[in-house]
Amino acid sequence: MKKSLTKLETASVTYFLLRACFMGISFKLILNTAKQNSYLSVGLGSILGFIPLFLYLFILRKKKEQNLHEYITRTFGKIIGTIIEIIFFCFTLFYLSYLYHEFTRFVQIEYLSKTPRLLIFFAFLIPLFYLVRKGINVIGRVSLILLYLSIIIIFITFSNLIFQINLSNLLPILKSSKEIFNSASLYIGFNILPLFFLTVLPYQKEEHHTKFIFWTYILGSIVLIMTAFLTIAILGFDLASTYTYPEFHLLKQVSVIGVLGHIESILAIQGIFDFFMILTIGFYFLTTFFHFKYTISLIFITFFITYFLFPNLDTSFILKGTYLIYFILPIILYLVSLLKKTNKKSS
Amino acid sequence: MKKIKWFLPLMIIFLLCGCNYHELNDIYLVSALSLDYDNEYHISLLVASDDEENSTRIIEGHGKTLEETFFHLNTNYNKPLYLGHLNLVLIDENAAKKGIKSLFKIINEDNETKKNFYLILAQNTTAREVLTYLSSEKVEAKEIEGFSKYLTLENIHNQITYNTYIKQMKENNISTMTSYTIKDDKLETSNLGIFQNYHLKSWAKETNETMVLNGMTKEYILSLHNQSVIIKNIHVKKKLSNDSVTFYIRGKIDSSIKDTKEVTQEFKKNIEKAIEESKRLNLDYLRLKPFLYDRNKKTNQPVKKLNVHINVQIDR
Repeated sequence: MKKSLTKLETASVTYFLLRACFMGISFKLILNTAKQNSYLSVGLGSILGFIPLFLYLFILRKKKEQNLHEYITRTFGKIIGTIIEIIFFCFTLFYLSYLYHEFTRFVQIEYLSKTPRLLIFFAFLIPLFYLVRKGINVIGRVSLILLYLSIIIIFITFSNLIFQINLSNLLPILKSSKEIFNSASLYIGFNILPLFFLTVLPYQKEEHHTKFIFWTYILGSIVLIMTAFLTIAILGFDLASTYTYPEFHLLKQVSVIGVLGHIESILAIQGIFDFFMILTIGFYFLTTFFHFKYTISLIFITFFITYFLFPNLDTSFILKGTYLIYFILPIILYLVSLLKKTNKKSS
Repeated sequence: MKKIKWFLPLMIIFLLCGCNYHELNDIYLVSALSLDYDNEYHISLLVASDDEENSTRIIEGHGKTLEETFFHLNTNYNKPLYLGHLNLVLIDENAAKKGIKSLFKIINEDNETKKNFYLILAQNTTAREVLTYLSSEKVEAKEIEGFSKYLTLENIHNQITYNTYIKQMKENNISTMTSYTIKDDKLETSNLGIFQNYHLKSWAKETNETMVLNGMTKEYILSLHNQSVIIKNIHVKKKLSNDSVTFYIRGKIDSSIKDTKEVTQEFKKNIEKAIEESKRLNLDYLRLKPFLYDRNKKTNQPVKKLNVHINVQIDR
């Protein structure tokens, strides 16, 4: 079956990649750094995030029908290309293990507090493995369905919370601009750089797909800015900083038509969708990289890393890694491609 | 392969059997909690009852520490406690003086609590007595949301929620809590408890006026010539100029009252009394330090003057 995604499926994949690390990972760090101005740093990060986004779209267009492995080998040569692929592979494996750890932690804390983490791990591993094996077409369709559900949940959430805003919680504005820049870089590292996984998407001749990715990026960023804004404006920084997942506690304020309350567990399911989709796309990214046939072995390596190595791992390792691997290496790819193009023209 | 497709989702369903679902009859739906301290902690919980005659009942626990008390409650009764519908927490004066941080820590750790329950102090009476009063037939509504309805019916608007309390405490390390007392078999508002670092430090007499200044109530009942005048739709704005802060308060009164001047004068007098009291107690429960911080001013420099400007209009 030919690998292709429709425009909406491409958009839905972009949406989930952008949102995935927000809940419980980047937002908590941004909140502790920028405090009342967290929404400003998310906005600034979204604007600066256009740079890596255009970089990834360039790679997506340049590699055409090759997969990323072939493109890197062609650009850098066999030996350097293999070294770079190994670096990409190892870091992505660690990164996905860390995300899986955060995912199971979120589910255990907010949903299944009495279930052993190992069971939660295996419960989600099964659909993950099944979806990765089915290929990008099925992943695209699943992400589109989850996108529609996410949109409904976001609409219910925002329409309820918008009336509970207390603007005095946003003061003082711009007290420390250095903290806003620092937390913007946190946002880019955790939320924008994973968009590198878009390079795994199959080549589409039409330009519309790139435009859809671009517009989805803008809309997804607006949703995240609104989430940060509502958390600060409703809970206030002091209260939000006491919770592990302040966005989840924000959902406790939602009450549909004044009748349906206590629906935070249903509304927070969008967090599960986000995590699940980035893990699916990430694992698919790994399997296509070296034409990896044995997905199940990847899964078990991830289990080993997540379960035995992760409880004490520092988040800063992950952040520095995303900047190095998903930003600096693609820049080098871009520059080498440009150089080769100029050399060809001159010869 | 087809069989595996069906087997996989079934496996997932069985792996999720660790979720903490309980039938309604198998849990205690806690609607109110009272905390008393008398050499040891006493916690009374108002829970929904499946008895036909009484819709609620009170269960009790005691211990040397709060953790021991909750442990006693969890183990001595055969049903787990469900705090998701907790609507009211009553605290005794002695327990408040001892400190309530550990109570909030225990409630905060419960994932199911909504954290917008009301907080009330009991002055000159035990919290248990206030809880019994609220659960008795003297109260019109005994349902889970009944307490807020009762308190609103009696024009008692000055309740603080848990979220507000924690926010104020984290912002300024000072928070307030309204207190109630039972006088002549009736529940009445008493003084305002001032908390510092989760311990009850002092009492302020001007409860309603402080609530108006803090923007925590939209209505105020003024006694004028043995009549009650209700000032509605109260809006408070604070403005900083040089080293003084001015409170601009505006409200509306019923059209049956023609003379707003007297109402304004009496209201202003009461508000100024509350400001004088806050100066006397030397505790920043009017939240001037957070106000200065929000306006990028230095908070260690005291505000030299506090002014009040009131505008009361007739509601047409």
